[in-house]
Amino acid sequence: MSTMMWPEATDPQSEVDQLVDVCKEHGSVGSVLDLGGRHRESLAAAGFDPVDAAGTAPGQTFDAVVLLGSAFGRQPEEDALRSTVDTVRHHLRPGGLFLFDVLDGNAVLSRRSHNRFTRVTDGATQLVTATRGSVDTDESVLRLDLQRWRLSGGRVVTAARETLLIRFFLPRELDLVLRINGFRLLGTAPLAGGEAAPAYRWNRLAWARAGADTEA
Amino acid sequence: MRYDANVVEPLHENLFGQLHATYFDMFHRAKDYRAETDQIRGIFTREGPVSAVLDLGCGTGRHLELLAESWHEVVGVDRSGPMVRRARERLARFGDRARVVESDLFELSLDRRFDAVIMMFSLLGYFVSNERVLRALTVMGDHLDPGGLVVFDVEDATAVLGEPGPISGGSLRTPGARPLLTGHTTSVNPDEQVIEMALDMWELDGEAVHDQVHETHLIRYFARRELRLLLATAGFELLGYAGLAGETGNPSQPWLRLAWARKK
Repeated sequence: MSTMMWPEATDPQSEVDQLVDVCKEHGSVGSVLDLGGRHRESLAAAGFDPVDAAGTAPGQTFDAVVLLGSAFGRQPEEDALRSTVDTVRHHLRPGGLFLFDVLDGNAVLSRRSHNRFTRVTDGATQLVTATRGSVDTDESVLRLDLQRWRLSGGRVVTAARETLLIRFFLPRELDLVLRINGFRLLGTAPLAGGEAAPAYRWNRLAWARAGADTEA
Repeated sequence: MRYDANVVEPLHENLFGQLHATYFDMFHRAKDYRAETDQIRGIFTREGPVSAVLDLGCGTGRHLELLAESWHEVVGVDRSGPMVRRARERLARFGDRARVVESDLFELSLDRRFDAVIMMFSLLGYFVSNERVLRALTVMGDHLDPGGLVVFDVEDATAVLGEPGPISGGSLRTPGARPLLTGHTTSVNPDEQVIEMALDMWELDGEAVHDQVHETHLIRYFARRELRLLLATAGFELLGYAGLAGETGNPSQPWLRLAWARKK
């Protein structure tokens, strides 16, 4: 996964609160593998036993696996997505919970423009991001061309460009993709936690259970 | 998503009954069947050869009539008895070359295969859930040899979601012996990924209501990539996806796309 070039969500705690609420709603979740690794401390503070990918023992499985940062949609091909989901399944106990965020196709396709501009002030430093977005409706991919500047002490300290390709999913399409990959979609909700990342506002948290037919 | 078969099927069970069937062709007077059928025939020519065609959800048989006129052997299937009767009347002049069967899609068993299966009027979207859409595609595949073609139209997500505002309307007309009051409202339900269309009809006899019907149509919309994945899961390869031909007499025409695929 690429390192996030933009600041973390403006309110990471509410993102964690949402994860905790979903986990509690779906039974006993004690051990959590955070594949993105960005919520480990907050999850521990919430009473879970979180581990990141580097800390797993061979064969170790977890009650839940968390994959945020639009990583689910960063695999443009079905095969690449399958191998990501296989990795998730490998780390989940049977019937375990998979929590991830996806770009909402309804939101993407309803919008006239996907261009954005954000400015985040961090002490004397300002982070400026201009995003140009375009939609590939054949492939269901949102392309984000990002330009970023770090301004400090009256000058541009760094400037960078990055292009992100993120697949978006309609609700029933997500259900289909999960079924094909051996998961059952249990629910989705708008992702809590602010919108500092370029596509945040259009993201939903989704949760699914390993084993397509574990429950009716 | 709450719209599973238990929600959708009771609503769809009695669509296109006697009253609706009587006026169906009048409602769709502006639909350009000839342009649509020319488009389908063009696909048959490019991807075929196709001589025998099965039309699932054939309605009053308008596409079949045009296909039968151009030498095709056609079989239509519909689960509405009143629609089947109209299709049979329309196709009677073709003799053995055209046949219409009254059957539910999921109970269909024809002891033969075809070169192509078509499914028009956004019918695939009426199955809504992945399970039933995949079952419908499987039924289509069951009536094809490997290499056979499916051609169908769908509501396109990009077009549906890009369109502001619902399409609604109503009118009082006297198309036959009795005045007919009709109204329809259309809205998009993104959480369920469906278009919801409510249709009301009152056939009047003076001041009295002679017959009436209220129908709810739930029609799933699809992204092209999603459709490709559904087709691949059911054993098809998507060959093409293009705007449905024809003048836009119907206000929802810009939402429709024609998709065609080959059985692997």
